[in-house]
Amino acid sequence: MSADSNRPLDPAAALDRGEATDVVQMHAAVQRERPEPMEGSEPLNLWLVVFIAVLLFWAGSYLTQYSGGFRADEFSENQINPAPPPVVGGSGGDDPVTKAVKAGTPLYVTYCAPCHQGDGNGVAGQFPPLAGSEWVLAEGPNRIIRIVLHGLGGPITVKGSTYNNQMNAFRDSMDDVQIANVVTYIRNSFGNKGSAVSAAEVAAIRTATAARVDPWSAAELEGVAVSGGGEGAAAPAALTVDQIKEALKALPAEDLKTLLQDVAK
Amino acid sequence: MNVIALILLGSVVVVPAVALWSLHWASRTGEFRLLNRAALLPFDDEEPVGQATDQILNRGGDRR
Amino acid sequence: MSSTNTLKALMPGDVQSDPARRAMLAEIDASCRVPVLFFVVSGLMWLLLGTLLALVASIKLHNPEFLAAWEWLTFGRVRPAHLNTVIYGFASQTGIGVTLWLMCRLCRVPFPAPGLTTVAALFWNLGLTIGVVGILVGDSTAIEWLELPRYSTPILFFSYALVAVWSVITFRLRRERHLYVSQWYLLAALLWFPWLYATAQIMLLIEPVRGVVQASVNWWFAHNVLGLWFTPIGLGAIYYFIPKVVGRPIHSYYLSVLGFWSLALFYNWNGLHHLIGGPMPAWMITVSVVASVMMLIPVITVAINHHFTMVGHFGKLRHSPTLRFIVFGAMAYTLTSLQGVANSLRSYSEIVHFTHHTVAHAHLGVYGFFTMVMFGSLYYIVPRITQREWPSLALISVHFWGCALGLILYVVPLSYGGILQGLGMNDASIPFLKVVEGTLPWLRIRTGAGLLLALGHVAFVVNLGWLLCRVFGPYRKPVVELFTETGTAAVTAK
Repeated sequence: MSADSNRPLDPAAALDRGEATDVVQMHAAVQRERPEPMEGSEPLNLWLVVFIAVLLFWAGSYLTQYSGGFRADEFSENQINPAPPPVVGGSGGDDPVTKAVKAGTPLYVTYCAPCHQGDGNGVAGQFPPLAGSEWVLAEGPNRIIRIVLHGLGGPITVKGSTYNNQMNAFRDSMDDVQIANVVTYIRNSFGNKGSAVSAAEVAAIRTATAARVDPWSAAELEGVAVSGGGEGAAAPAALTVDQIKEALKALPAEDLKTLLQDVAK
Repeated sequence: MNVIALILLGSVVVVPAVALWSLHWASRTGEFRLLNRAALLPFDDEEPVGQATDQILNRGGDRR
Repeated sequence: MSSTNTLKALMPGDVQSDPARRAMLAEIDASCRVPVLFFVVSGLMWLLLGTLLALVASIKLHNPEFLAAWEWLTFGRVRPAHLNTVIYGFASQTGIGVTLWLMCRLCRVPFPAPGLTTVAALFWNLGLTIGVVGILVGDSTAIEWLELPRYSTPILFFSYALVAVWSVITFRLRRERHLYVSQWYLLAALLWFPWLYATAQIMLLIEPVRGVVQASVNWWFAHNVLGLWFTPIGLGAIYYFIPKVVGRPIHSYYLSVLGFWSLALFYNWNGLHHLIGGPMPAWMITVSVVASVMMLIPVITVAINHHFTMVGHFGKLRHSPTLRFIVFGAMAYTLTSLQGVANSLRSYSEIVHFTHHTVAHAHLGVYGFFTMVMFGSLYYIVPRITQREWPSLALISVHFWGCALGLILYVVPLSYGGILQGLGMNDASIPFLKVVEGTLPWLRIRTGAGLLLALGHVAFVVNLGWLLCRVFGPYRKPVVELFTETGTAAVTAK
């Protein structure tokens, strides 16, 4: 025997293999004396056929029920004709705040909770709280609607702590009614108590700020009056002289200087 | 015709066609009839039915 | 009554005498030696690298500062590098090696192009090396399961085409006219994979579609790689090796036919259940949910077939390493498929989606099922193509128990932790950070499990390296007697 014997056609190796199996085959012959079942040809089990039939039936009914009519523009499996979204401030007799809070809940969970958390407390050092926030609870919703529409960037002080992060713009994610609902929800949850916000107010601000691309900075928002502008007003909120003075006082000295220089030009 | 349309056409027409053709081929050549024979195909003279192979672990002193 | 004589009567008359037949079998095994060994050994090298990358990624999940100083070892690169090394490096290459051997054995014909296929294997490894380095330096395409940069994929495709073409030619040259169920699976896999890969490459990278269509193509591909590439190869191997090792034909050949064609019919529709809750037309998701549930048909038929063939032969698990790994793999296939059906249901997916549960599920499938089946196949194939026995039986045990216990320790805690994580994320009153902290113990257990798996892999590679030293080193006796059952009396007595 040499290293060659691992070659396939080496007669010595083949003979080796033959001898080894001959012994085994003798035993195998003994083993075959026992009756063996007809292996390899078990017929289909009746229960399996029944099971497959039940599955096919289920498949048919599930497909009919949850396919949204096989429409390309139907995204929810549960309805074939979607109900129109609830309109806040309509002619309904229900309390508008309760209705808006109900409609705003899923929107909050989808768009806001990932950062501001389900309990509205935010994440320390990262995302400012909404619960008890002076920005949320301002007398009017002018600033918070602007934040939701166009996002917010840079440092902002909330409840005495400073945060520096980026918030997304939601102007394309939610329509006026949805923004009104979610803002009303925020202003009336987590222990907050604020007035309801109407879709008209959102629409007005959306139109007034239509040209805006960048997110707001806190300083810019300080310059926006917290309330006013009125229902259905398409123009930017008209400010009283007192409000302007108040807003100017709130500005940091440096910003005020820049502003005055700009005006002077 | 753009490449995407070509791919979709291929997926929707060619793949099912190949599947149907192979089903037809299989039934024509008796793949679905001679099941007893097919079930025995892994075995041959050297490693016949009824004989276990690869029994190398835990053989006690049996192992050469 | 099935017996050797019946078999002889059924065999084609190409080869008449017994010695000639034996020579034929030895010739078939020897003809595959070089390409199969090349695919298998390089596959195992990728497995070691993939295990290392997996451990790094796993440690980073509970110790984020670990190796964080090097940008090419950040999580966003290590994790896709792990996926691509184990999928395209280990699993695909070993799968191709096993496919080639099974194809030749079942066609009863020597492999016609060992040299050319070895060159193809060389190119596969070259393309993959370029691709994985590309991922680590930051050139990933950022599309899951297709992260390999575009400059590496044409090499892979060229190499794959060579292998597939020669496998099909082997099939055309076959001396056995009839097909065994394994060949159905293997041939289908060889045809499905290029279709999947080319479609996904073109629709996502070369001529990208837009919007949610990208997501649907991506998941159609990623899910089908498992179901129409790895699953058929794994099932084909199980269908061959369980009967072969226990010496008994498959429980029911009817069922195997049903299992194959129902897999072919339903699997392709499954992928979109990964996008439940996403902005897809409802009917697309619904169709994939239905198809996923219909997968119960192939899964249950295959499970009946595999597990019933084993009935009465469980004693052989003690003696055969192949059978241990293969039966473990067959059980994992049943489990992971049933779990997959559950994961595809909308109400359950709402909980486990985006959690570690999915990761555990993927490992039960690709590792518990496919990798274990490949290990089992190699324990059978390598001694036959090299005509050498495994040098160390102790290392075989270390390999099996390391992998089996490691996998159980990986999958069970992580699945449970994943469900807790999902329930936490769905509860809006729990802050996100609390949920993240809750996953830490399960992630630490996973790193431990990964170490066990690594131990198994090293044991296997050492054993194989030792065996190969005997092939290419000084001659040691060929141990043909271990191929068959020398201790027949012991087994017959059962």
